[in-house]
Amino acid sequence: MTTLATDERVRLLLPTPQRATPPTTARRQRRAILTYGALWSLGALLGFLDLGTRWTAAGLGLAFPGGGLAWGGQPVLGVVAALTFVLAVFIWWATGPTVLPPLVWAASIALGALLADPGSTTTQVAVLAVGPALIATARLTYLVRHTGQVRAGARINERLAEVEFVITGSPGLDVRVPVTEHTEDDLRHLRFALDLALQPLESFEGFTRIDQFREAATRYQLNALGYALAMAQFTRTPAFTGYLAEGQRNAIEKMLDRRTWGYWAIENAWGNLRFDRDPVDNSENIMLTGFHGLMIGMYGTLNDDRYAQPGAVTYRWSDRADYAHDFGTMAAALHRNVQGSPFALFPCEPNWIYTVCNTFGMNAMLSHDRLHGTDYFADVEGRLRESYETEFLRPDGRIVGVRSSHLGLSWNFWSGPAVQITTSYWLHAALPDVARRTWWLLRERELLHEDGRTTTRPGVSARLDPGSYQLGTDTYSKVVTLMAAREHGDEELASAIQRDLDQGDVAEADGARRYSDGSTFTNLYAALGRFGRHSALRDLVVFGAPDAWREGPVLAEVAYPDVLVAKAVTDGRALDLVLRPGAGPVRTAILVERLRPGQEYGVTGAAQQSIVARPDGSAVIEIDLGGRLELRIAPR
Amino acid sequence: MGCCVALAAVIAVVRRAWFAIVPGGAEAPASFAPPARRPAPGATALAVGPPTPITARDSHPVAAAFIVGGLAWFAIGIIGMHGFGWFQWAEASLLTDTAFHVSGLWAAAIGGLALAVRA
Repeated sequence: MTTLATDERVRLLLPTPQRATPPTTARRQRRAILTYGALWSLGALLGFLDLGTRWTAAGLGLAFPGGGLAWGGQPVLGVVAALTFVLAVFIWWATGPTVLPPLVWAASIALGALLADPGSTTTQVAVLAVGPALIATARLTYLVRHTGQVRAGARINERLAEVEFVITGSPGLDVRVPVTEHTEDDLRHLRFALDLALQPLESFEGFTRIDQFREAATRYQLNALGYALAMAQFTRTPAFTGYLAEGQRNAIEKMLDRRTWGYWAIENAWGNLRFDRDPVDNSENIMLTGFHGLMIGMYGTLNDDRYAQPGAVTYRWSDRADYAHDFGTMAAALHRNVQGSPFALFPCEPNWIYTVCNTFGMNAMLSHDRLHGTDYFADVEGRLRESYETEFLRPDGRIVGVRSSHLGLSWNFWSGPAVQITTSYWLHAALPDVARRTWWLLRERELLHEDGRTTTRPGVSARLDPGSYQLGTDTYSKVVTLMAAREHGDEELASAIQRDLDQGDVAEADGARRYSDGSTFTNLYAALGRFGRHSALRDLVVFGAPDAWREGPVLAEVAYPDVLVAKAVTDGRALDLVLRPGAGPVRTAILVERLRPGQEYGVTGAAQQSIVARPDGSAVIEIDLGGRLELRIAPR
Repeated sequence: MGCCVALAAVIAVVRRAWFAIVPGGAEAPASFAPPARRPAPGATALAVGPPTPITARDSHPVAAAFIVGGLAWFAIGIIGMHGFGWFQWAEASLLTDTAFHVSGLWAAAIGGLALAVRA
């Protein structure tokens, strides 16, 4: 691990909870239980007033979904109604239709009233007892588990007291780790991403198409595509724009296609009963604004500020309707929504707050602050940190993956290792100490090392490819472990996982390579991990590119796939390139820009030995490319 | 542990049902985008692969028919049966009556869902 003078060493213990339930969560849970208590009381009252069979059944249905059916001689239908309600809650979580559980509940009440025959008093009492009993049992279970987690947290803290985490600071005028060169394998995986990105804007061939709501949605593949290409540019070819920057622009602009973002119109309608389709100007949808904003932030850091211009990010609904935004309005919306949320973190789908999604919002704000001089993240950092450390952290250090903003509820599935690892990666820019502690905990208790291979402990979320919903594969787990290990400077582990992945099943087509047992999304995350390095994400988001990279000469245009750019770096004056042929030996031209107009440059590695920059600072150089070619263009 | 097994079962069942219901929903194994091409400086740009018309989203006649037909079925059923008495069940119960009317809403919901997921 490389450390610099600007790095600091910190200790970070797990916070000791003051009470069993964090304050905002507790308020939401109390409100939910009081609301249910009022409904339950009304339901019980309808029975006690003896208004007739149908009213009693309706009241019992109000006290518990399916209760009226169970009491009125339809126990099977009662169970079906209760299970349907559970399914409705699952669909609510999956796709956001807040109206669905109340509708199912109301339907079960109506059906119970319609079909009811007089039931026994014993059944009536039993139905009335189910809801309170379930709540009491859930609370008791939570308290028992919480007590265990507090004890585990105390034990962990004894060890954490001895551990120092390195928080990387500014890498300075130069970079933390020198720009490295793509290997031939790297270039094959890069071509998989480039072919996806360079197809026409309207075309989505090679992308997984299952649904537009959950993790396999096209937008997440586009996000991962943009991040992977940006990371390749940052760590390998910062002085190459050309088709690499075009690919990032395409990924950003494909996000503006209604087929990609139109899900929000539906989710806002059935989740919030609002018919405004604007995907940015709302109080939720960080799954778009945060993720898309970070793509734009990365692009702006490495290339240009075109997406900061008014209307540059316009989401098109039809020829007559669109929603004009830019990087500024997106960052402002993120900031406003954090300010307006009682949890500080705010929802993706209506009601559902995800910790990992909110890391993208923080990263987008940080990028905007650095590029455009705002203070969005600094303004809300304290509240976000507090919330990550209380509302969304178990006493044993596991990050709570999801919480209902209406009900305050969460569940363990979203505390699995794959979720923790992903969060530890994306959190490293904004809250590096929390991210480092999370990674330390993961290494301590979640990663398994067997026969020279590393994977996560078995579990549903750890054996799920979220890009295809395929169960039984740990490829995604390995990929995110690779990403996080590399980001946290655990290069030995990262290299071992990279080797393991590369020795698995791969598929190749036209010079592009992908892992066969991973979805497109997983493959793009694999590219992101492959192109990463120690603190690469943190450096890119928090500190940006050195001035020399933004001002020095760049390789602006080359043929693809004839010329594959393995390395491109500038010190502000000279340009160093390593090129490889992608389609056999070729004589071709390359375009260099941002040279000093009229300046003579010496060229090493090309047929011509010197060039004079045109008045616009550009020059075309002819090269013969038959294998690995080093090229240097330096002022004379 | 029980919750995890149940959730795994739900995911597996939903996934299988989804691929069975939605044509073309299943991901092709190890798919690639068509190989891209970009010319050298000064040459003309080429794009490989036919563009997919952006208006494809607007052409789901079956889903639209489900929505329009379902809502019409629901409205006409309510108005026809209960407003004008055009027709009625020989032996009506509230259950069959409700099922009859709600079928239109279900059809509309299925149409809406189809549009949503193909967005």
